[in-house]
Amino acid sequence: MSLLTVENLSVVNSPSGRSISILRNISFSLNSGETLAVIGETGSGKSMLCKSIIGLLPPGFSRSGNIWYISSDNTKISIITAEESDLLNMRGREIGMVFQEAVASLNPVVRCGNQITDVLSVKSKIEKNKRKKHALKLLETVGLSEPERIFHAYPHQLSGGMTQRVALALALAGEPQLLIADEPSSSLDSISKKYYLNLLNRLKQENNLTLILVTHDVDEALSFADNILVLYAGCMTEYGRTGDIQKSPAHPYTKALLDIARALKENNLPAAIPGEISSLTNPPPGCRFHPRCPKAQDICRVKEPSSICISNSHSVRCFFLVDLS
Amino acid sequence: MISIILKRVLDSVPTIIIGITLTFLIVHLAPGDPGIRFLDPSQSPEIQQVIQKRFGLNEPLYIQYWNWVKRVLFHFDFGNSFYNGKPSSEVLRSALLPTILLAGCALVFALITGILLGILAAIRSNTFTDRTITIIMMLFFSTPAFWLGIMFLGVFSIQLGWLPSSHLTSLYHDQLNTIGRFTDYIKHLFLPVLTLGLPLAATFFRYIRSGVIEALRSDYILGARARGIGHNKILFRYCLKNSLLPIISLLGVIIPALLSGAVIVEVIFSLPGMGRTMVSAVFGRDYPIILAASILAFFAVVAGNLIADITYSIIDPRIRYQTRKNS
Ligand code: SF4
Repeated sequence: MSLLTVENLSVVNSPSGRSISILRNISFSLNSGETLAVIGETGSGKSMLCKSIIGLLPPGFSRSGNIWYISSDNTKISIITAEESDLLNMRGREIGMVFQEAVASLNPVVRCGNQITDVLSVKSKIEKNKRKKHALKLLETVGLSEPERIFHAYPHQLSGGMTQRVALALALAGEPQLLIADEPSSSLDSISKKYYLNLLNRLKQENNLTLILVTHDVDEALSFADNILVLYAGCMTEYGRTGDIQKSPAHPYTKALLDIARALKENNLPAAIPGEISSLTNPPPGCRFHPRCPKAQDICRVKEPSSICISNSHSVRCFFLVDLS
Repeated sequence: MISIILKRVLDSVPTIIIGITLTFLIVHLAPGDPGIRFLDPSQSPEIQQVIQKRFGLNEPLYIQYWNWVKRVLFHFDFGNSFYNGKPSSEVLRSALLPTILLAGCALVFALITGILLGILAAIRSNTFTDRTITIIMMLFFSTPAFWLGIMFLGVFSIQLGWLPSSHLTSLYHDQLNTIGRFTDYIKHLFLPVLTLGLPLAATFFRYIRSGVIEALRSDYILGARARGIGHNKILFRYCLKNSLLPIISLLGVIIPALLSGAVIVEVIFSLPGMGRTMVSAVFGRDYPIILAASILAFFAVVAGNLIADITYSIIDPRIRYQTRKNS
């Protein structure tokens, strides 16, 4: 059963009367225990997608469409229409989130351990005198070898890899079903990154987590995710099972991303996608990818492609699909 | 921690020495001398000399300075008032209580008002409530204390007659019971505390308001919200603690401001405090009192800075970490 179903989600920012479309018609569903990777360049709206799922869009942003979530007691909740108090209740306990800059997401003037017990005090039924013990255990589960020291440390006293794991412990403290990881490894060096991703995978299996992994690393997505969603300038260009996308990417943008990833892996200098990601404030008409698309035709410049289902788990938005043979 | 404190105390010794020396020089080089209080210009130069000699003012300046330093350092004697012959320490001791009461109450009042209104304005930012509070606070911020004091006096003491206009206690203070004395103090201190405290509250308000607004937008608040921490806890445990930091570092500047503000307020409301004592000492060229009061003021400022630094490092672990690394 789908734990999370997103239907035609759009996010609009309206500063001083203008309306800027940040996300357009995003639809996907995520089964319990699976991993969805959201890939795209910086500015494609990945973070906004995460924030709309957890209901924490900045002021001035509004959502339309539907986000359905099946809570642990099997009730279907519409996240978009839910009351703030219900969402507050859900955050941490049903849906957890880790951010790109872990150290920035921790309170600089409160000890790491106390931040964990803060969460435990509102998100779990653990008695007060047992919270510290539980927090130490959590720190151990996220692979921190000196839990006692980390418990008493302030965030700035820890390395990037450590704070990222503390942040993970915080997100898992309320034992959520769904974990949203917004580029959790992008600020880490390659060794810590690998370690972190393996840890994430292990914890996912142990706790039967459902994971949304936002990344701009295509390889990471291919090796960890069951499904992949490709975002370009706020539009969902392609969505499908990882195997399908890897074998037969249908959208020119997905294909370009995969080509770059492959070239990097083979230590070749990849040919970058020409041009820059189109701005959200002033998007090009028609298909938002057309200024950079090698296959663009006249129709792409005037008309926005609608979603085509190639198979029941693979959809794409493009008039001229990449050769599917 | 103790070594850091000691280091800071030692660091402040030169400041105090330079400050006191400068005060000594300024006071002695300023035109006019203590004699003017007792002398009639028509009196003969001989009498003038006798008086000068009595006060030790006939010696060259550096000898006077050296004598004074010796007395202060070795006998802890700040000299007697030229005016009434009482030891400086006694004069100042009796003047200290009203000033401490006034400055302390004003500080507490300013902190409470500034912080509460700052939080209120920040969580309602850009609404009618926020704008109203901000405008009122800006008015107090830009109003000079002497004008505010005179207005309060005019309205609440003279026009409405609600509160006394001067002194720390009523004439019949000694006949009152404890509660009566307490309310007597409050009545007398109310307007002076407002006069001194409101501009300060406005300063705190500005820092807290912008601090809380900034904190509310920060990533760690987003992080805390994503973990499902409730609003009140976010506001008080997460935002406020971080927005208090600039205020604590301000304390170092605020103590001198409070002292100089107290001078004006004490003069307006005729409170027998340090400020008024100092002003009359300056007008009367009562050197020992001026110098002793200056030393006290220097110590207050240095101590204020020290307390600010220590509190800051207690609240903000990042600073503690850095100082430890540097020292
Ligand atoms: S619709 Fe046209 S411009 Fe857009 S991706 Fe497809 S071919 Fe390229």
